[in-house]
Amino acid sequence: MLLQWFASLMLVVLSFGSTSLWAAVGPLDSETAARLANQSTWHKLLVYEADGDGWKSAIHSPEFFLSPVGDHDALAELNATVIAMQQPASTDADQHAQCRFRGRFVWLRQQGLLADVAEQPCPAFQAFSSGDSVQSVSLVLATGYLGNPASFYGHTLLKLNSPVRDNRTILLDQTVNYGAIIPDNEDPVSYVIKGVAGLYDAGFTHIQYYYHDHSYGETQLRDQWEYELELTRPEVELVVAHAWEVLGRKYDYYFFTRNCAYRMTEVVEVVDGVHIIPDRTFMIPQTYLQQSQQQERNGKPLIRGRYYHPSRQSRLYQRFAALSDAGEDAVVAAVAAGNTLDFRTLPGYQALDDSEHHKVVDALLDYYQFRELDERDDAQQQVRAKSPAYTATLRERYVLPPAPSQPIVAPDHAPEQGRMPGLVRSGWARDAEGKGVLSLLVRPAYYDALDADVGHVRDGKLVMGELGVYAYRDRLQLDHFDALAIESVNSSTTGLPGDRGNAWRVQFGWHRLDRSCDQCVVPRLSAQFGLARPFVGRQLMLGGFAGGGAQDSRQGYGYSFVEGTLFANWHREQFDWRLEVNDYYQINSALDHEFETRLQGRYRVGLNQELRWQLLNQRGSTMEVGYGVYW
Amino acid sequence: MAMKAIFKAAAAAGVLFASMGAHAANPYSECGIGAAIFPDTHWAAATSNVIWDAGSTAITSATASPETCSGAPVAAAMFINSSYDSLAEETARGEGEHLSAMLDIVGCSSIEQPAAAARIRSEMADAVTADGYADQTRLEKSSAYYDMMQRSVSASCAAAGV
Repeated sequence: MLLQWFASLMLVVLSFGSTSLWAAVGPLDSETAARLANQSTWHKLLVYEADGDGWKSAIHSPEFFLSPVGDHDALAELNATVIAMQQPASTDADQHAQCRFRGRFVWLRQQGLLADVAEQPCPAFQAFSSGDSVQSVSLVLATGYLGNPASFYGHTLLKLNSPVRDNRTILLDQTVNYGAIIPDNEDPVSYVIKGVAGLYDAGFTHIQYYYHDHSYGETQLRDQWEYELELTRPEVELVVAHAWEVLGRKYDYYFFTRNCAYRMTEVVEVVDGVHIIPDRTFMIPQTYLQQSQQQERNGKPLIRGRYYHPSRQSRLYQRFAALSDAGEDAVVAAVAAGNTLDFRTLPGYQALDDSEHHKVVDALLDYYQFRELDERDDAQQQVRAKSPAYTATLRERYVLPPAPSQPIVAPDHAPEQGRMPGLVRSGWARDAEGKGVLSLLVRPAYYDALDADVGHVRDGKLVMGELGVYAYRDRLQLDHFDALAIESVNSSTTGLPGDRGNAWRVQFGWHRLDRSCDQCVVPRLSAQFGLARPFVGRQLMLGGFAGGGAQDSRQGYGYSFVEGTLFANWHREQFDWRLEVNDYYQINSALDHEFETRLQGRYRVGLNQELRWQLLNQRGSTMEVGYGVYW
Repeated sequence: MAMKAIFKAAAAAGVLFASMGAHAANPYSECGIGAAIFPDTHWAAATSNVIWDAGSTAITSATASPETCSGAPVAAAMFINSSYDSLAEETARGEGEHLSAMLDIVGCSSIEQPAAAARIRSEMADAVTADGYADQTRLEKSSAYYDMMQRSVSASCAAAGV
């Protein structure tokens, strides 16, 4: 009891950083303490961020610090930590400092300290780390998902890999996840505002990989790319231990900057010499992969291995594409039969051999899962029965001899091989009055239908903060500002029911109502739903939208409008084209229908360069040619 | 020599029988596990100890033995419920990552897994063709699959933990 009281007293005293007293009584001399406290790894373990002339931890959970000033005083927290690490075992083994602050303990030992201190058993950490058997760590990118604003740019996990790497065991690997803590029934407006402004708490959680694999791959239909990192065993040990000690601690969540990708890479950066957080204002997951790809460790690439985990939708598309004509006919006939599906009488099916039977049935299983999962959330799937058609297909798989499914091949290009996310473009334009002007466009993120790249939604659009300006000799003229513009186009690869290309788009920003009017740039919000369908092996996408919106009124334009759109996207080698025709009907306005025709072309000069041109006809014609660089 | 072999076989059968008797419980029905164990990934619950904690919470009110409601049985039950569709499809194919992962959870060695998988497939072939299968919820199917897995593993895997 007396010993505990004395230890507590010392903890308090030393927390205030009296180095002379520390030198007299502590296990570290003042020089060593100061040296360690100033090391970047120690700051990373405390999740310190620059704060004026000093430091402040991004974690605001008081229990993360052993010193009362530990959230900003690295030396005080170091002293308190070393003392706490030497305390005798408590009744709850998991509450010992060695267990709660496992990353600090591992690092201090790697610095040659605490060698004589008895190591505590830490059963919870042992369970988390599978008995310290994690062999490597991976960053897992779930590709972008336009169904949830928080996942537009993709989501990142940290996976702790078991000793034997094969498909048999990766599902049971531990994963660490980071996300905002969102109250139930949060309204969308608050969701966006709080997410951007840092008004949500956030934290790390952990769960076995199979849970995420199901959630992303089966429910949200998102491909996952896993990147195994080239780290030594002690480095892996440090990352795992640090991931453990930040679990459950509270951070502030910022959608654009301090997001899942940032925090997850931050955990990996606790390893000295790993720098994968890009030097950018916005943290987009693809960029840390691009940076990781360029890094080496001990003469080897930082990315040791890349693995593709296809979604159910991707599996369906590959398996459907691999069918013979007769097999495809059988699938179409099966889908047409609906819930009366009977394989014994299915036209064309019995004539196929067993190999093709397997392919047809596997494609159908993926198809029904794709359709039915797309229609229900996971909670509903718990209690809802599967469709009779799916069940009939599953039965047929049991009737057939057992055989593996067709292997899925990874796409030719992976996300880290894509272009940079930001774009700046300048060029020459001719305005509606025939004047030549300098045009300038800046787009921090991310892509449009012409430059959608690997890791993006093909033929889709996700634009945030795009600013277009015309520079005359004597003035600047705002052309447009897209605060947010999203276009989601289902590619409808199979053409089967349920995969017929539903599309939607929303746009909010400042729009130029009349190309011949400089004062007609007004705030506008619009939303449309539509359909799209690919042709010529997905080189051509045809589609249309219908919807409406609200805007400020100018020059006789109404405060609201309805619009119809037809579009065609054409992609071939280095060239991309888009033709879009809009028909606007202004409500409560003297203006009636108004057509706008826009033809855009793009030539991919290099991975991060483009040449783009546009012809626009609406109350006069404008044209524009520009050279763009991605950053 | 022949007597020795018979004795060994009898002893092995006895161990298997005892093993089956000792682990015949089904966590779905005896541990209070229901659909509520997979409601969402609420961050605090997930942080405390992932979904296993949620399972344990459900288990506290159960009357079954602790062995039934902890460790591999519950882990396997939860894995099956989370991955049922993939498991059912892979079982039909005779192999797959989910099938192997489940057998890993219950301690079935990689050498023994093909035999266990074949037994599960045989039982599943009957189950999916039975009347009423299509109307079952995922939880009901998962519970039935667990029973099949348990029987198959007990018969095929020497060190299985269910």
